[in-house]
Amino acid sequence: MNTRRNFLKVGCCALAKATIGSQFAQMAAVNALAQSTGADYKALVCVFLFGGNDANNTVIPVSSQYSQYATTRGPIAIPQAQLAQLPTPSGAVYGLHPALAGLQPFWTSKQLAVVANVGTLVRPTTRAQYLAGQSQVPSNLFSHSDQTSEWQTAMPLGGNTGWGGRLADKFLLYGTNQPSSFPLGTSVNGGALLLNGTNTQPATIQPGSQGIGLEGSNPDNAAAVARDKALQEILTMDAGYALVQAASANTQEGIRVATLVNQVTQSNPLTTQFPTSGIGTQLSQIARLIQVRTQLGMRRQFFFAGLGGFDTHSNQLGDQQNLFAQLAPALAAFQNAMAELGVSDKVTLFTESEFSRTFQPSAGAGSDHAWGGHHLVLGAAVKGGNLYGRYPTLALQGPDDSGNRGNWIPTTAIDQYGASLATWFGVAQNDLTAVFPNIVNFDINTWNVGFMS
Amino acid sequence: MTHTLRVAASLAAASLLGLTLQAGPPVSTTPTVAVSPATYTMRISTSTTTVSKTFYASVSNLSVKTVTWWVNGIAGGNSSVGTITTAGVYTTPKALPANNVIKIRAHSSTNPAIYGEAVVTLQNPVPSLSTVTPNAVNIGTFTVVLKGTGFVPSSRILLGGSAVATTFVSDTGLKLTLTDNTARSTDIGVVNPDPGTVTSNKKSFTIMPPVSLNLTPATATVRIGATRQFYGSVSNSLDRTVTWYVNDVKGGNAVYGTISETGIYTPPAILPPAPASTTPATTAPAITVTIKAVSNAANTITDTSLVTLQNAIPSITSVTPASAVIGTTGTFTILGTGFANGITGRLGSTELTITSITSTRVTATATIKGGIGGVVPIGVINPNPGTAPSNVKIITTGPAQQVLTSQAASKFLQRASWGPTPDTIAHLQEVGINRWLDEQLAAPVSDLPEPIADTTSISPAQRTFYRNAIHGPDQLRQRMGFALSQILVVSGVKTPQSHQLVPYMRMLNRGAFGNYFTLLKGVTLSPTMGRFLDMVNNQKENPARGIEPNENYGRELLQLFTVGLTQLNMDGSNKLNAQGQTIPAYSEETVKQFARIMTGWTFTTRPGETPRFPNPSYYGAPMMAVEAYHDTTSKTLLNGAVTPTGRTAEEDLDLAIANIKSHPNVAPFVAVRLIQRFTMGNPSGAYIQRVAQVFQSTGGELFPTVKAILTDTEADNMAPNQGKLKEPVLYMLSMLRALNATATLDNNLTSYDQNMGEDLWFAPSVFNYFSPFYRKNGIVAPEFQVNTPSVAINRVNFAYRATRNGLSSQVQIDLPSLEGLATDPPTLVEALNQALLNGGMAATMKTSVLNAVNATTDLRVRARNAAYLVAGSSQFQVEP
Repeated sequence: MNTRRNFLKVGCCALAKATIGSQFAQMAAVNALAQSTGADYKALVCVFLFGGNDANNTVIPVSSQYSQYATTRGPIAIPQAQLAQLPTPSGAVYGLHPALAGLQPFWTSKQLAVVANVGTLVRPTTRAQYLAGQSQVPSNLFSHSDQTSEWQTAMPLGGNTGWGGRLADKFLLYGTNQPSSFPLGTSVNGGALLLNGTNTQPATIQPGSQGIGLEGSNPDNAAAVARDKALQEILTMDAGYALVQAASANTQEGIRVATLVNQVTQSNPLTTQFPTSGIGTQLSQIARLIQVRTQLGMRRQFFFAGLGGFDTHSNQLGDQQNLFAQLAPALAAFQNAMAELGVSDKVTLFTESEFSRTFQPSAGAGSDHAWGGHHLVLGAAVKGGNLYGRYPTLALQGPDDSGNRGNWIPTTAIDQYGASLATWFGVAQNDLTAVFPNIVNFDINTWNVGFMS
Repeated sequence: MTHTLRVAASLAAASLLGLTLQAGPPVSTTPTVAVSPATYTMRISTSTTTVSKTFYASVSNLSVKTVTWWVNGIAGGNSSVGTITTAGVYTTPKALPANNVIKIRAHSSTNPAIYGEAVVTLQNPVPSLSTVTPNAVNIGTFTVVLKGTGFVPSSRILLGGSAVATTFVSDTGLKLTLTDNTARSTDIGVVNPDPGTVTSNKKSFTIMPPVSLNLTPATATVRIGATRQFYGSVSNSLDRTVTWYVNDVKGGNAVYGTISETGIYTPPAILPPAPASTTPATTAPAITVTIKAVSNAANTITDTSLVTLQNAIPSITSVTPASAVIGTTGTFTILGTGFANGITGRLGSTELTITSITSTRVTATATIKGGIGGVVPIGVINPNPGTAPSNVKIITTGPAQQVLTSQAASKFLQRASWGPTPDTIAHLQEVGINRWLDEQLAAPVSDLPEPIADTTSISPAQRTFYRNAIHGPDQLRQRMGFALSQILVVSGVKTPQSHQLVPYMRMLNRGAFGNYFTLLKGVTLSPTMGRFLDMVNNQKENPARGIEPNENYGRELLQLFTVGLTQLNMDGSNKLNAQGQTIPAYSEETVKQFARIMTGWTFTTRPGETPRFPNPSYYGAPMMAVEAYHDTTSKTLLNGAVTPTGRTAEEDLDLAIANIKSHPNVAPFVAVRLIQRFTMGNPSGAYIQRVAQVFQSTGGELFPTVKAILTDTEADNMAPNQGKLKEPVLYMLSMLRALNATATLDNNLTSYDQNMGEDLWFAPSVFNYFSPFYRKNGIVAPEFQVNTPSVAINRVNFAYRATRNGLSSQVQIDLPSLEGLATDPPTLVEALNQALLNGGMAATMKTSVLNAVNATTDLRVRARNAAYLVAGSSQFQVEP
């Protein structure tokens, strides 16, 4: 791994360039920053389940409706005995997919909540309104690309900024992360519309063993050391063109952040072990970044991770089982890592997915594109051990079905789901409509679903 | 044997001698002669030593005291018994007489009957050893000669104390011939027997194992032109010299090489012929000679070394001419040493055609391609055995004649193509900008691959895009097509398949030099755009079903493709009302009216299927109108223009485009966006206006428009706060082209644009990868919107991989040429300066790069690191 070497390399160059005095000045500045940002910290972590997670097999009613579930789902129904029990204060009991059983302890310790039947909505919509075409509905329902986009933009009729990005725009105005120049948003899963703002762009960090810094740095190789020294010199020389300087500043900032992350995480490895799966590696990278939050000068951060493959048109049971078997240990490790870092009440992880899937199975033991689905929220700031929103009536052509196959019309909008998280995150109440412009179509008393403390 | 010397002497004689004269017995008067000493023992003389003894005669009772001396009854003696002088000096003979007891008598001169006698006993001489030759021998039969003195025929040589058969040569020489197979260190001496037996001094003597010879090195590889010292190490012999042979010829010869008396082998001037091979050889057979050393001590003792001969390391001292015209066939004369038959050579990455070879002169021809930075290394390579490259010399490449400097050409090509290449710089220098633009207008269009099926992934088309960009002739058309794709945006986010995107991108490329409004109609009717912005299957108002025409396309057509939100001046600035506020270009109602215009279109009916509305998706043809779904009512368009009722969908569309064309915003709107794609993010109003006027006056003709953009004086004279960050696709391509890269159709470049924020044809939305209004540090710089710090690192890391040919084997820069230049670091750095920075590298930057280069002598590392530092620099990433 070259991460430590990156650190050593940049460290050596910095030493070579700076006078002793300015070294101390820099250290003092970092310490001051660290002290000033220590207490006030909050982070959101979105784990996007690409492909449309079948929520009907994620959270299953146990104390009621199980027979309707078993009857309709037939070949893709999960036996009740295999479900991990999720008792709620109301007495209703739900069951968690067996491959997610590793998360059950967080339910018991009230750090895990379920928000039921969340989806994209323009406004509250009933089956009757939907069938009569009397309610405007999100554009291109059931389309992967559109719904993936709408879940991230919270703009059901289309938009090109994400709600996380707009949140970041607001916190830029608040100056919360000042004077840090590190972006509030960070994606470890490539481009993330969720975090694209008008005035802010997320950092995109490739997770994994390659490190996040300059390739090829090697303190043991004289030529590489000389090359990196020259690079530093070129980055800091005045080229006489403003945009050259701006580009160099960006590169230097990238190197600075990479150095910082590598430095701190190398010298203080987390005890918590993450699985080596893709999602495990992504969440591990996020944990490393949270670990260096004070050194980065961050008070608010919003991360984006993802796991694909949920488009289970066939072999639903096997495919979802495999995916959850990757997801659950990664989420558990992440939550344990947050506890290790002492920030489990400052970091909230939540799931998104473009849609759920038809309650009625399709040929080939799968399920097709549908609409509202259930989502998980994890963290010590979550009012866990409970299910929020309303669990749909499991009846084809029933009151929650937008058609005849069990396409649940969402009863909690992504806007409300996001606004609940954003409110906890600390956005000003009167800025909520800028972050979620569509939320004005909902009763203001329902804007906060209530699952965050 | 003992000898007794008897001396007769009378008491009277003793008295007469007066030794004791005292009272005692009466004094005798009898005459006597007495000899003393009466007995004596002596060694015989030898050829080199004389042994003498003086005897004294004492005469008593005689008046005459003189005597005569006799040896064994012979007066004065002789050589057999020894001689004696009149004075009584006796000298022993040189050989022992048969009787070694000698009587010496002194007779009275006057009375000879009266005599005295002494008895002398003779003994063998004492032997003395001075040399033993040789003093070391090998086991077996050997002969040794001993030199010394005192040898007698009965002397015996003692070897290690034991007497051995001895040949007497003389009293100074003995010889030993012996067979002895026991190697040891011992000594040698001589013993003379009785009488007087005595042993000589001893000399050390060695009996050694047999002679051996070891030739080193046992095997060797020697290049023509070099020499090699061989060592013949002889053991167990006093004679350590050897005689040298090459292939059994003493001292060797000119064919196989010669070897000196001291073992220095010099290969022949040219490789000897290879041995005939009985089986087909897959590799050239090794050419060997045998070096042999023969011991001069024992000529049966030999040893050999096998020498593998290799061609010389060729060395070039000069190449003429030192410059060449790109596109011509250059003829080069290469002088130097060590050139072998079968030699090859390279001019940069071009193989030389060798026309003649001697060991000191090669002539060759090559088609001249531009070198990176206008310089290219030339070198030769001797073939196997021992293939080896020569040093290189630098050839400058350029046009036959120039109307532009290479720097001016390079700058122009930076904005008019996917970046300058050495060849395109030279070509532009030669033909000038106007002719170059005409050529671009006429250049054949690089196509994208035909989608085979609806499931064809976009990847092959993306790879073709990059291959076309690196190698295609229609550079400006491609740049224009890509620029248009960022204004008239569709995105693979929604239409990811090849059959959806390729027709659209082809349309943009083919229409790149046509009319903007003609293109706009094609865009509007493109099923890809129809799908992307929901115009496909858009239908007139249907109150019964609560359906309103979809506004999406109508809105973006106005806002993003043509007019923009606010009224503009010709210089791109906002028109302001009396209150100093911007003035909307149109209202929401206008959007609704355009939405109604854009109704009645569906996918063209798939071949063999029945038309309906909506038709299933089909991207093989423009959308088709189904008039029943078209809103035929009158619409009020921009600036209050009203369309007649009852027009068909296409008639209405034409009216709408004509209406847009008449809007004064379009020229500055398009001008700004195109300027941003080609030259700078932040043009002056005057620049915008100049371009907008061309667009306006030509009715939206794109070729004159782009010509105006590229040739504007402002493009050549940017202020310090003007310019643009090369967008990722251009950054990658211009780097690769400047470094003379080659790319094949299976290149993987599209995996890199993604992590730099510009996933080719997959803009996040219709708002493109970045906004034309995005500012960085107050300067409009759209590309900075995707240049986050982590992306900035990815950009530098791209340079790292590209400059070490680590992108993929399908995309390779001409690293070998840079390695050739790296023998001379300033030449290398200057070449990169010309290739990547249009010759504008600051002295401080040169120093930094040079320092890094000089930190290693590895030419490849030098080349990589220098290219990395320049290609990854912000100076390269930003234009100018």
